[in-house]
Amino acid sequence: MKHEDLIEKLKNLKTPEIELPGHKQALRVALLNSGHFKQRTVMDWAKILAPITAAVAIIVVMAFFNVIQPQLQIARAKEIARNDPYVQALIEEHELDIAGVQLRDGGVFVLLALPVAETRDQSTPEGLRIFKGVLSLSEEELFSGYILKVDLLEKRVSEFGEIDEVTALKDINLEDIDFVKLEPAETAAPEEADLE
Amino acid sequence: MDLNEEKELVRQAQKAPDAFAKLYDHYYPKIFGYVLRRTVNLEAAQDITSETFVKALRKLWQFRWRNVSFSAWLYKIATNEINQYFRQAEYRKSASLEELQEQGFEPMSPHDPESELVEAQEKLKQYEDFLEVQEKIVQLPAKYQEVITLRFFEQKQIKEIAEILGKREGTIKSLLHRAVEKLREAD
Repeated sequence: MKHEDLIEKLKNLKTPEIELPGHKQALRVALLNSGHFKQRTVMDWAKILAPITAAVAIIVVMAFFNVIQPQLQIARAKEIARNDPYVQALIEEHELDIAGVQLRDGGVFVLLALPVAETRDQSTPEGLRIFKGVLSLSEEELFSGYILKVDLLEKRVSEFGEIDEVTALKDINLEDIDFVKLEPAETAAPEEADLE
Repeated sequence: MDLNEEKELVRQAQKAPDAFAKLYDHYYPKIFGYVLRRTVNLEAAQDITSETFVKALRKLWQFRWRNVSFSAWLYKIATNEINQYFRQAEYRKSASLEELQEQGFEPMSPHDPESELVEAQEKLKQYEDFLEVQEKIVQLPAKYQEVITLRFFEQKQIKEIAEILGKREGTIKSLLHRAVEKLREAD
């Protein structure tokens, strides 16, 4: 038989059209009463909620570590610095204020400098102002002052160093700073610390 | 049933038993007929059809109307079950079908099972030409049996066969050509 003839034979072959009404009816009843529809709803929600919950958890964790935790650390560092007796003495003596806080190289650094408003003193030529060892230029908004390293675990200022003429905290090269370690006793007794 | 109507029914059937019942009523004869024409065994056809619909019900909520239509999806499940039947000397009912039977499902219980089956077997014997051809078809590898049955006995278009078997249309055409050739050689 030729290929085409076989195709024709297959096309025209009378195929069995048999039904089993008993089986059809029994299976229909069994399927509809099997409880799958109720189970499916619960499973459906579980399947839908599982990835959403996981995604939300990941977003929350990422948000915490990338946004909330750094903000909390910055706020804590500011608070620790403000409450530190040594820093309070510096602020009082030189009329400084916290000009910035930054998380860098695994540490928290606080810049103590003249308030920006103070540096914009128009009374001095070219905005130059020399103020008790702290130099600020209003036009370029340069800061001079101190940089503090805050130990969040011990809740104290652990090191400090002097800085000269930087425009922002991020521009400070930490390797260029001669940090002086502060012992816990020093911060506890600011009157004995050598501020100069 | 047109495509849009079927889409809507499938969407509803994911929650509503009534909608699932409509799909079942529409597709049961097609699937049972397909399985019977592949296996030529009424008891196996009952088990395989049951398993196909149990699986369809279980997985219906996962079904998304993408590249495969609901009809092709059902045929795909049935085809997999048929292949499993041919692979195993004794077709083992899966856990899902056994669970259903534990819940009281007896394939032919509402009607007289014996007389219904005997009557059906007598009917089947009348299709002598078909049985003669089918005897040769079952000797072919499963991939050829699938395409011959779907194309000539189920009157499926190449595109739909490709959907059911998850193959390209070109592959189906060449499989079909080779299948007919093999069958001709066996004749």
